[in-house]
Amino acid sequence: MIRVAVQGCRGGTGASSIVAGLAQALVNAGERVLCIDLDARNLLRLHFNHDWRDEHGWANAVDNGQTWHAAAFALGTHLHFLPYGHSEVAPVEALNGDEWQQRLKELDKDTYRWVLFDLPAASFAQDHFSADVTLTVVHADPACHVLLARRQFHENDYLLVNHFTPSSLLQNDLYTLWQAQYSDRLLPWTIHRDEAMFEALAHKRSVTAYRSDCLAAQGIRNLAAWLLARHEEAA
Amino acid sequence: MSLWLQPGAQAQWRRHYRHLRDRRGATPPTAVLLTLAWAVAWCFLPLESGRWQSLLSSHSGGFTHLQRRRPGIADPLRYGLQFLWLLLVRPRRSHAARASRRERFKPLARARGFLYPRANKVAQRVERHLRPALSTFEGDNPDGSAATRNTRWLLILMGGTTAILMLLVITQPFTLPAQALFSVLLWIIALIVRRLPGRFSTLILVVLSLTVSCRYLWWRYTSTLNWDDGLDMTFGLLLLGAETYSWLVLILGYFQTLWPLNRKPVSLPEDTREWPSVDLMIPTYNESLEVVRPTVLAALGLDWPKDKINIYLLDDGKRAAFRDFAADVGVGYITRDDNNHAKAGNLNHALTVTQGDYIAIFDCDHVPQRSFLQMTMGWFLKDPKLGLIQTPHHFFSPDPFERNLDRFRRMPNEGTLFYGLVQDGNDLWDAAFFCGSCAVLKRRAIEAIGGFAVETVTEDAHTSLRLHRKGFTSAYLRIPQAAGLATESVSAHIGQRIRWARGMVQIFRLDNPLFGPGLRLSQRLCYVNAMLHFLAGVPRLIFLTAPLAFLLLHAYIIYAPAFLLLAFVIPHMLHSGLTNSHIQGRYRHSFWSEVYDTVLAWYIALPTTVALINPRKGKFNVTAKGGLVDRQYFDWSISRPYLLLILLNLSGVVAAIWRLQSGPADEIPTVLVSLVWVFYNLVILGGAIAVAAEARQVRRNHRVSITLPGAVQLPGGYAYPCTLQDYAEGGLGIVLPAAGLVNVGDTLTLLLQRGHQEHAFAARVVNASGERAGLELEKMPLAKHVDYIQCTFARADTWSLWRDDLPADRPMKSMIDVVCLGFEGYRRLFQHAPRVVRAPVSWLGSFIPQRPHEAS
Repeated sequence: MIRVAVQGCRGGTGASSIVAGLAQALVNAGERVLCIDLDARNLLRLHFNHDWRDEHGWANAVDNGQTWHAAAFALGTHLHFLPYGHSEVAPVEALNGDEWQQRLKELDKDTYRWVLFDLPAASFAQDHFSADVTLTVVHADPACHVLLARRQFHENDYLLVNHFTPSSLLQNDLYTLWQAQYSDRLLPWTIHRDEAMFEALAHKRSVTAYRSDCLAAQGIRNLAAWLLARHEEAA
Repeated sequence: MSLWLQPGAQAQWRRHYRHLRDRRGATPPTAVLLTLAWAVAWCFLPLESGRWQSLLSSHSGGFTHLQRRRPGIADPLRYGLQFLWLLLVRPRRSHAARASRRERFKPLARARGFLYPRANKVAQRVERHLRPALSTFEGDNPDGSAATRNTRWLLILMGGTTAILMLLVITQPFTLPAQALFSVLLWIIALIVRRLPGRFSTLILVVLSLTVSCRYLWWRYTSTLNWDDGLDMTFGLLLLGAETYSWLVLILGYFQTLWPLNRKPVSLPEDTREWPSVDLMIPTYNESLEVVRPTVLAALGLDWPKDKINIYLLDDGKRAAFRDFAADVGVGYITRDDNNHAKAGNLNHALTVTQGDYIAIFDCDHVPQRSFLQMTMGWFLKDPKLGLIQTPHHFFSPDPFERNLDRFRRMPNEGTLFYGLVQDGNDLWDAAFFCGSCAVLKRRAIEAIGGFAVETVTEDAHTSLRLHRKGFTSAYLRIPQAAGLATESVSAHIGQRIRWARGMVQIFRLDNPLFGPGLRLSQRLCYVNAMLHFLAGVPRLIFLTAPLAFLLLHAYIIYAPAFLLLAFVIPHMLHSGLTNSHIQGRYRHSFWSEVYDTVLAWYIALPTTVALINPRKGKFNVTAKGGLVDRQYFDWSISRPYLLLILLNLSGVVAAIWRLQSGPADEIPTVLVSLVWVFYNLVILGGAIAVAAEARQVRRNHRVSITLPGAVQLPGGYAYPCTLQDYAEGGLGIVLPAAGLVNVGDTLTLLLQRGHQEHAFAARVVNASGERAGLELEKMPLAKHVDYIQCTFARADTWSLWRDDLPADRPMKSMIDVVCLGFEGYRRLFQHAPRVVRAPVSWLGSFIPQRPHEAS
């Protein structure tokens, strides 16, 4: 199982949308995928056409002493997702990568090839979430630039620019700067700003499923292809 | 009338008459006569019967073409002829029916399927035996070792023996059967050898071709001249001279193209401080700013340290708009007081006011790719003797041949042979020469020879000849690093070639590469061949008229029995054709050289002859570029000489028919051979005529076809990936993932990648159909414009992709292609002929019966 953690550099960068789109893109490539929402706002499920009133998730299950994967839902044969659910007390192990690795060991080895974690936006207090690949979703704007400058990078940490608008001079300049500054971290393509990305959530679908021919979906497909190629090599 | 006709019949007559008058537009007398003829026919034929009705109906197709024309007095004759024709031929089958018939001919395909693999197996077996020997030949043997020195003596010994044997083979007289057998055997060897891979097979083919051709020429010199008759001898010697010229060019061509070097770029040092400084010069005289602008903007984007490159616009036109443009974009602007020596003088003047170590030269319409300098400069650092590096001239618009014959990118174009093979072959002999643009020269080398050569109108070739004489070397990098516009009309193309031809012949006279100091034999031969190539005019005209000497004047130009002639000349033609196809097939298809040469022959014949006699005559004329042929027309003035040649050859056909009828019986084979020759000439001349029908150019800005990923951002915030299909300076064509995404008039943002950088350009949709859309770019500030040129014209990968999809040469198919082209030429000639000529011919043509299509 390859664990991919996706996290916004700050709030509102569109990390959940990317997780949902990526999951669908990997499924389209014939992979078996599990998505786990680790954000207490519990929004990832909305990308998978889930009823917003249903508040079941792994956090409730753990609180109630059930197994953590009891609340998983299936979307087709290859895509399963696990909402955060609702919990009065924040589960301490929510953002502990090692804890989750232990949990995943309870599953059959080849149930899933990919496990995608949707992490809440990064905060300084937070420990590093260990995974096989960590993607930090950024906007090419000054706030993210400052946050990146103060960031500690770990191995297999990558930066992905979302909502990119090449006609913006500022975004272009920052992107060019980052290409030089984070040359070994920054993924060599961006996900463009695309209305379809927002509409997709309004339709309660991932952008890949909603409009597979749009530019944002193409960027996400690139990401899926990159992950597949990367782990083809590793294997 | 009512007295002797039944009322019903009378009504029929009237109806027929009215039909002819009202529906088909016949004049009253014609209608009356045709009605009478129809009535007479009715007396003998039951025209009202179902069978006749169905035959005559427009659906059956038997008489459709007659029913479509306006009725004429001679219609009964036309119907009669067509009727007889219908009795004789079967209707043409539809496509599907023909396919099913091909199925029936499967045995033939099966036989082929049986034979080919076996022939292949034989070839493979031969190759397996030869492979060890071949690889030692093909491998790079280091020079100078003791072992090589020994083998060298052995090779000289073997070479000497072979030469003596070869001489024997060439000079040995044979009887007709012996010669025929000999030819067949060599041909079989050639057919087997040509399937072997590698250069060794080329060598064998060349040797076979040389043997056969030398033998032919020897035979021609020793036993086919009639010294007793003045007329025979004059024409015979003229033809023999032309044949000797072709033979010489054939042999030198083999020498030149035997072993293309295929040089690779050399990488530059890591530290850019070691990179030399370059002056990039763009000479211009009368070209418009629209043509020059992309070149300058692309030059601004070259990948080279900014403090080591200076761009200069050398404007001999001294135009204020150019000076302002140069100031705007920040490039140097150089003018001079006089315009002496045209381009060479312009460059020489620029040399006096600039300082860079190297000089890169681009014609104002050749847009350099960003990688140009990085690809080429490495060789200068590696080889300190290098004085010149040349890259191909590549064109993104069709040349007049490609445009008028509708063959753009469907086969190698005229320039491909030179830039794809000949220059690369020259490079092996260190004889690649300067072509005036897309090249880098070393300043020290140019100064050593006293600047660019100004004595001839082709300063480029002459300059490199002098470089070679001074001991500098040259290099050719067969990677297109720039692209430009091709000449836009046949007359401009011919004008350009006249200049080249005149200039090359001038060099031949003023600074003959065969003599003078500093050159190696191989360099002399390569230069001489380049110059001889332009002397092809007179020999070509001789070939186009030679059979007429016999047919019209009864001169025995080849004083030998027809069958013996065939036994010598056919192998000569087949072997040289096969070998050239083997060597050049990827760069020029068989028989096309004939068409290209014929178009030029008449026009270069005179200037080259004049230049040969008085090389100091003739001025530099600028090749016009970037124009627009805005309507379809036939260039009569260009094709006049070819019309004359066609008339001559047609009179030859008439004379041949007369000779077949009333000449002596023993001359019949000779007449037939001459007739075949005349028909071949007519086909080639037809091809030359076809070129003169100028096709219309639709756009002013030439669009470059390409497949490139891009993206668009639409007004509502939606974004889609797209594929860029073509681009020009002002607009682009894209394909979107779905239909109906954009509407005409939408403004959108186009995103294009250049390296890791993504650029956005505002554009407007000017047409949209299905998934395709045509965009027009909005006005851009200069920096954006440079970006646009960099994303499109100056991309480093665009041009190299082009040659991949050209079909390989298949001599037989190519021959059929050229024959069809010949017929096409006559069709176009007829289409554009004045009415006085066209009307009687088409009237006569209307009597020709037509083969109907099979009713489905």
